[in-house]
Amino acid sequence: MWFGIGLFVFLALLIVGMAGNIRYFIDPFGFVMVLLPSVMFGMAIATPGGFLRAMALPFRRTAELAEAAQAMVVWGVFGQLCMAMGILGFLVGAVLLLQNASQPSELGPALGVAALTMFYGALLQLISLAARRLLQRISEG
Amino acid sequence: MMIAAVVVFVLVLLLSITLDVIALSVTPGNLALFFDTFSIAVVLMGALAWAGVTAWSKPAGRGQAFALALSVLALWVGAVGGLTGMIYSLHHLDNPAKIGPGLAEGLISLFFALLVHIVAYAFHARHQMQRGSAAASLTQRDYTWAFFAYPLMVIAMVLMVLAGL
Repeated sequence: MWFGIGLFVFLALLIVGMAGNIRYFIDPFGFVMVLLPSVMFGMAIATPGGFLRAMALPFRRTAELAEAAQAMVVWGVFGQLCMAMGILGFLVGAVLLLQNASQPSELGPALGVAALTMFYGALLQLISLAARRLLQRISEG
Repeated sequence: MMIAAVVVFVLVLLLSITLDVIALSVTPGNLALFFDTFSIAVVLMGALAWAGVTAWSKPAGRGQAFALALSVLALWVGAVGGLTGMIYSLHHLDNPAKIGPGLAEGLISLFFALLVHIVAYAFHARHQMQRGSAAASLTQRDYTWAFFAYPLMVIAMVLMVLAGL
Protein backbone atom coordinates (compact mmCIF):
# COMPACT_ATOMS: atom_id res chain seq x y z
CA MET A 1 0.00 0.00 0.00
CA TRP A 2 2.79 2.42 0.97
CA PHE A 3 4.46 1.81 -2.35
CA GLY A 4 1.23 2.83 -4.11
CA ILE A 5 0.90 5.97 -1.99
CA GLY A 6 4.55 6.87 -2.56
CA LEU A 7 4.19 6.36 -6.29
CA PHE A 8 1.07 8.55 -6.35
CA VAL A 9 2.78 11.35 -4.39
CA PHE A 10 5.87 11.13 -6.65
CA LEU A 11 3.80 11.36 -9.84
CA ALA A 12 1.65 14.16 -8.37
CA LEU A 13 4.77 16.17 -7.45
CA LEU A 14 6.18 15.54 -10.90
CA ILE A 15 3.03 16.87 -12.54
CA VAL A 16 3.06 19.93 -10.26
CA GLY A 17 6.74 20.44 -11.14
CA MET A 18 5.85 20.54 -14.81
CA ALA A 19 3.69 23.54 -13.93
CA GLY A 20 1.41 24.20 -16.85
CA ASN A 21 3.77 22.78 -19.48
CA ILE A 22 2.64 19.19 -19.15
CA ARG A 23 1.99 18.84 -22.88
CA TYR A 24 5.76 19.17 -23.47
CA PHE A 25 6.19 15.93 -21.55
CA ILE A 26 3.55 13.85 -23.33
CA ASP A 27 4.65 11.56 -26.16
CA PRO A 28 2.61 8.33 -26.24
CA PHE A 29 4.74 6.73 -28.95
CA GLY A 30 7.94 7.45 -27.01
CA PHE A 31 6.40 5.92 -23.89
CA VAL A 32 5.35 2.79 -25.79
CA MET A 33 8.81 2.59 -27.35
CA VAL A 34 10.38 2.47 -23.88
CA LEU A 35 7.78 0.31 -22.16
CA LEU A 36 6.82 -2.34 -24.72
CA PRO A 37 10.26 -3.90 -25.42
CA SER A 38 11.14 -3.71 -21.71
CA VAL A 39 7.94 -5.56 -20.75
CA MET A 40 8.48 -8.11 -23.51
CA PHE A 41 12.08 -8.77 -22.42
CA GLY A 42 10.91 -8.92 -18.81
CA MET A 43 8.33 -11.57 -19.73
CA ALA A 44 10.92 -13.48 -21.74
CA ILE A 45 13.30 -13.48 -18.78
CA ALA A 46 10.83 -14.50 -16.08
CA THR A 47 7.84 -16.04 -17.97
CA PRO A 48 4.76 -13.81 -18.47
CA GLY A 49 3.08 -14.98 -15.25
CA GLY A 50 6.26 -14.57 -13.21
CA PHE A 51 6.80 -11.08 -14.59
CA LEU A 52 3.27 -9.93 -13.72
CA ARG A 53 3.54 -11.46 -10.23
CA ALA A 54 6.86 -9.66 -9.69
CA MET A 55 5.35 -6.37 -10.83
CA ALA A 56 2.45 -6.74 -8.39
CA LEU A 57 4.57 -7.84 -5.43
CA PRO A 58 5.56 -4.36 -4.13
CA PHE A 59 1.86 -3.60 -3.67
CA ARG A 60 1.47 -6.55 -1.30
CA ARG A 61 2.38 -6.41 2.37
CA THR A 62 4.04 -9.77 2.73
CA ALA A 63 5.96 -12.12 0.49
CA GLU A 64 8.13 -15.17 0.77
CA LEU A 65 11.86 -14.60 0.76
CA ALA A 66 12.51 -16.47 -2.49
CA GLU A 67 9.58 -14.76 -4.20
CA ALA A 68 10.78 -11.31 -3.13
CA ALA A 69 14.35 -12.08 -4.27
CA GLN A 70 13.12 -13.15 -7.69
CA ALA A 71 10.90 -10.07 -7.97
CA MET A 72 13.91 -7.89 -7.15
CA VAL A 73 15.81 -9.37 -10.08
CA VAL A 74 12.84 -8.85 -12.40
CA TRP A 75 12.39 -5.23 -11.28
CA GLY A 76 16.14 -4.66 -11.62
CA VAL A 77 16.25 -6.00 -15.16
CA PHE A 78 13.08 -4.12 -16.06
CA GLY A 79 14.48 -0.80 -14.79
CA GLN A 80 17.79 -1.34 -16.52
CA LEU A 81 16.10 -2.14 -19.83
CA CYS A 82 13.77 0.86 -19.53
CA MET A 83 16.76 3.15 -19.01
CA ALA A 84 18.63 1.59 -21.94
CA MET A 85 15.54 1.87 -24.18
CA GLY A 86 15.12 5.51 -23.14
CA ILE A 87 18.68 6.33 -24.14
CA LEU A 88 18.29 4.34 -27.36
CA GLY A 89 15.14 6.34 -28.16
CA PHE A 90 17.03 9.56 -27.55
CA LEU A 91 19.84 8.43 -29.84
CA VAL A 92 17.34 7.60 -32.62
CA GLY A 93 15.77 11.05 -32.33
CA ALA A 94 19.12 12.83 -32.02
CA VAL A 95 20.70 11.09 -35.04
CA LEU A 96 17.64 11.80 -37.20
CA LEU A 97 17.48 15.46 -36.31
CA LEU A 98 21.23 16.13 -36.35
CA GLN A 99 21.49 14.62 -39.83
CA ASN A 100 18.45 16.52 -41.12
CA ALA A 101 18.50 19.87 -39.33
CA SER A 102 19.56 22.73 -41.54
CA GLN A 103 19.13 25.53 -39.00
CA PRO A 104 20.63 25.48 -35.48
CA SER A 105 17.40 27.04 -34.19
CA GLU A 106 15.51 23.88 -35.20
CA LEU A 107 17.65 21.77 -32.90
CA GLY A 108 16.38 22.92 -29.48
CA PRO A 109 12.70 21.89 -29.60
CA ALA A 110 13.43 18.75 -31.63
CA LEU A 111 16.06 17.61 -29.11
CA GLY A 112 13.50 18.26 -26.39
CA VAL A 113 11.14 15.78 -28.02
CA ALA A 114 13.98 13.27 -28.51
CA ALA A 115 14.90 13.57 -24.84
CA LEU A 116 11.39 12.54 -23.79
CA THR A 117 12.11 8.83 -24.23
CA MET A 118 15.12 9.26 -21.94
CA PHE A 119 12.84 11.04 -19.45
CA TYR A 120 10.39 8.11 -19.52
CA GLY A 121 13.25 5.63 -19.15
CA ALA A 122 14.63 7.49 -16.13
CA LEU A 123 11.15 7.72 -14.61
CA LEU A 124 10.58 3.96 -14.92
CA GLN A 125 14.09 3.29 -13.60
CA LEU A 126 13.32 5.43 -10.53
CA ILE A 127 10.10 3.49 -9.93
CA SER A 128 12.06 0.26 -10.31
CA LEU A 129 14.66 1.43 -7.77
CA ALA A 130 11.88 2.25 -5.29
CA ALA A 131 10.22 -1.12 -5.90
CA ARG A 132 13.52 -2.97 -5.36
CA ARG A 133 14.13 -1.11 -2.11
CA LEU A 134 10.64 -1.98 -0.94
CA LEU A 135 11.06 -5.63 -1.91
CA GLN A 136 14.32 -5.69 0.02
CA ARG A 137 12.46 -4.47 3.11
CA ILE A 138 9.70 -7.02 2.58
CA SER A 139 12.22 -9.84 2.27
CA GLU A 140 14.01 -8.68 5.44
CA GLY A 141 10.65 -8.97 7.22
CA MET B 1 9.36 -15.81 -25.77
CA MET B 2 12.86 -14.36 -26.04
CA ILE B 3 12.67 -14.46 -29.84
CA ALA B 4 9.28 -12.72 -29.72
CA ALA B 5 10.78 -10.04 -27.45
CA VAL B 6 13.72 -9.49 -29.81
CA VAL B 7 11.30 -9.25 -32.78
CA VAL B 8 9.12 -6.68 -30.95
CA PHE B 9 12.26 -4.76 -29.97
CA VAL B 10 13.48 -4.62 -33.59
CA LEU B 11 10.00 -3.68 -34.90
CA VAL B 12 9.61 -0.87 -32.37
CA LEU B 13 13.07 0.38 -33.27
CA LEU B 14 12.35 0.29 -37.01
CA LEU B 15 9.05 2.11 -36.44
CA SER B 16 10.72 4.77 -34.33
CA ILE B 17 13.29 5.37 -37.06
CA THR B 18 10.94 5.43 -40.05
CA LEU B 19 7.55 6.52 -38.69
CA ASP B 20 6.53 10.14 -38.32
CA VAL B 21 3.75 9.81 -35.75
CA ILE B 22 2.41 13.35 -36.19
CA ALA B 23 2.24 13.29 -40.01
CA LEU B 24 1.45 9.54 -40.03
CA SER B 25 3.95 8.93 -42.80
CA VAL B 26 6.70 6.36 -43.21
CA THR B 27 10.17 7.40 -44.38
CA PRO B 28 12.26 4.28 -45.13
CA GLY B 29 15.11 6.57 -46.27
CA ASN B 30 15.82 7.36 -42.60
CA LEU B 31 17.24 3.85 -42.20
CA ALA B 32 20.15 4.82 -44.44
CA LEU B 33 21.12 7.51 -41.90
CA PHE B 34 21.86 4.74 -39.38
CA PHE B 35 23.87 2.59 -41.75
CA ASP B 36 27.44 3.59 -40.98
CA THR B 37 29.63 0.64 -41.88
CA PHE B 38 32.60 1.85 -39.88
CA SER B 39 30.59 2.29 -36.66
CA ILE B 40 28.92 -1.12 -37.09
CA ALA B 41 32.25 -2.81 -37.75
CA VAL B 42 34.01 -1.16 -34.81
CA VAL B 43 31.22 -1.89 -32.31
CA LEU B 44 30.30 -5.38 -33.44
CA MET B 45 33.75 -6.70 -34.26
CA GLY B 46 35.42 -5.00 -31.32
CA ALA B 47 32.86 -6.12 -28.75
CA LEU B 48 32.36 -9.61 -30.22
CA ALA B 49 36.08 -10.34 -30.40
CA TRP B 50 36.79 -8.99 -26.93
CA ALA B 51 33.80 -10.79 -25.38
CA GLY B 52 34.80 -13.98 -27.21
CA VAL B 53 38.31 -13.88 -25.77
CA THR B 54 36.94 -13.11 -22.29
CA ALA B 55 34.44 -15.98 -22.41
CA TRP B 56 36.92 -18.45 -23.92
CA SER B 57 38.98 -18.38 -20.74
CA LYS B 58 35.96 -19.55 -18.71
CA PRO B 59 35.12 -23.15 -19.68
CA ALA B 60 32.17 -23.33 -17.24
CA GLY B 61 29.18 -21.22 -18.33
CA ARG B 62 30.87 -19.93 -21.43
CA GLY B 63 27.61 -18.76 -23.04
CA GLN B 64 26.60 -16.74 -20.01
CA ALA B 65 30.06 -15.24 -19.65
CA PHE B 66 29.95 -14.27 -23.33
CA ALA B 67 26.55 -12.57 -23.01
CA LEU B 68 27.66 -10.64 -19.91
CA ALA B 69 30.98 -9.60 -21.44
CA LEU B 70 29.26 -8.57 -24.67
CA SER B 71 26.65 -6.46 -22.88
CA VAL B 72 29.33 -4.58 -20.94
CA LEU B 73 32.03 -4.29 -23.58
CA ALA B 74 29.68 -3.16 -26.36
CA LEU B 75 28.81 -0.09 -24.28
CA TRP B 76 32.43 0.87 -23.75
CA VAL B 77 33.42 0.30 -27.37
CA GLY B 78 30.40 2.40 -28.40
CA ALA B 79 31.41 5.06 -25.90
CA VAL B 80 34.78 5.42 -27.60
CA GLY B 81 32.96 5.95 -30.93
CA GLY B 82 30.62 8.48 -29.32
CA LEU B 83 33.52 10.43 -27.85
CA THR B 84 35.33 10.40 -31.20
CA GLY B 85 32.35 12.08 -32.88
CA MET B 86 32.06 14.55 -30.03
CA ILE B 87 35.75 15.52 -30.21
CA TYR B 88 35.46 15.96 -33.99
CA SER B 89 32.44 18.21 -33.54
CA LEU B 90 34.13 20.28 -30.84
CA HIS B 91 36.91 21.05 -33.32
CA HIS B 92 34.34 22.41 -35.77
CA LEU B 93 32.30 24.66 -33.49
CA ASP B 94 33.10 27.56 -35.85
CA ASN B 95 31.33 25.71 -38.68
CA PRO B 96 27.77 24.83 -37.52
CA ALA B 97 27.11 22.83 -40.71
CA LYS B 98 29.65 20.21 -39.61
CA ILE B 99 28.53 19.94 -35.99
CA GLY B 100 25.27 18.05 -36.64
CA PRO B 101 26.64 15.27 -38.90
CA GLY B 102 29.78 14.91 -36.72
CA LEU B 103 27.71 14.44 -33.57
CA ALA B 104 25.29 12.12 -35.39
CA GLU B 105 28.08 9.84 -36.60
CA GLY B 106 29.45 9.58 -33.10
CA LEU B 107 26.01 8.75 -31.78
CA ILE B 108 25.48 5.96 -34.33
CA SER B 109 28.22 3.83 -32.75
CA LEU B 110 26.59 4.46 -29.37
CA PHE B 111 23.25 3.46 -30.91
CA PHE B 112 24.61 0.11 -32.11
CA ALA B 113 26.38 -0.40 -28.80
CA LEU B 114 23.12 0.00 -26.89
CA LEU B 115 21.33 -2.28 -29.34
CA VAL B 116 23.87 -5.05 -28.69
CA HIS B 117 23.86 -4.26 -24.95
CA ILE B 118 20.08 -4.61 -24.58
CA VAL B 119 19.85 -7.98 -26.37
CA ALA B 120 22.97 -9.42 -24.71
CA TYR B 121 21.86 -8.17 -21.30
CA ALA B 122 18.41 -9.77 -21.73
CA PHE B 123 20.01 -13.12 -22.60
CA HIS B 124 22.36 -12.86 -19.65
CA ALA B 125 19.47 -11.98 -17.30
CA ARG B 126 17.39 -14.91 -18.52
CA HIS B 127 20.31 -17.23 -17.94
CA GLN B 128 20.74 -15.88 -14.42
CA MET B 129 17.03 -16.29 -13.76
CA GLN B 130 16.96 -19.87 -15.03
CA ARG B 131 19.87 -20.75 -12.79
CA GLY B 132 18.16 -19.02 -9.89
CA SER B 133 21.38 -17.28 -8.94
CA ALA B 134 21.63 -14.23 -6.72
CA ALA B 135 20.26 -10.91 -7.85
CA ALA B 136 23.39 -8.98 -6.96
CA SER B 137 25.26 -9.57 -10.19
CA LEU B 138 22.38 -8.08 -12.17
CA THR B 139 21.08 -5.30 -10.01
CA GLN B 140 24.43 -3.77 -9.15
CA ARG B 141 25.50 -3.37 -12.76
CA ASP B 142 23.66 -0.23 -13.71
CA TYR B 143 26.06 0.69 -16.48
CA THR B 144 23.45 2.56 -18.47
CA TRP B 145 23.39 5.25 -15.81
CA ALA B 146 26.86 6.21 -16.97
CA PHE B 147 25.49 6.55 -20.49
CA PHE B 148 23.01 9.12 -19.32
CA ALA B 149 25.96 11.51 -19.60
CA TYR B 150 26.28 11.22 -23.39
CA PRO B 151 22.85 12.54 -24.34
CA LEU B 152 23.31 15.29 -21.78
CA MET B 153 26.64 16.21 -23.38
CA VAL B 154 24.97 16.36 -26.80
CA ILE B 155 22.25 18.64 -25.44
CA ALA B 156 24.91 20.81 -23.78
CA MET B 157 26.79 21.09 -27.08
CA VAL B 158 23.67 22.08 -29.00
CA LEU B 159 22.87 24.68 -26.35
CA MET B 160 26.43 26.01 -26.68
CA VAL B 161 25.96 26.35 -30.43
CA LEU B 162 22.58 28.03 -29.95
CA ALA B 163 24.10 30.46 -27.46
CA GLY B 164 26.78 31.30 -30.01
CA LEU B 165 29.71 30.15 -27.91
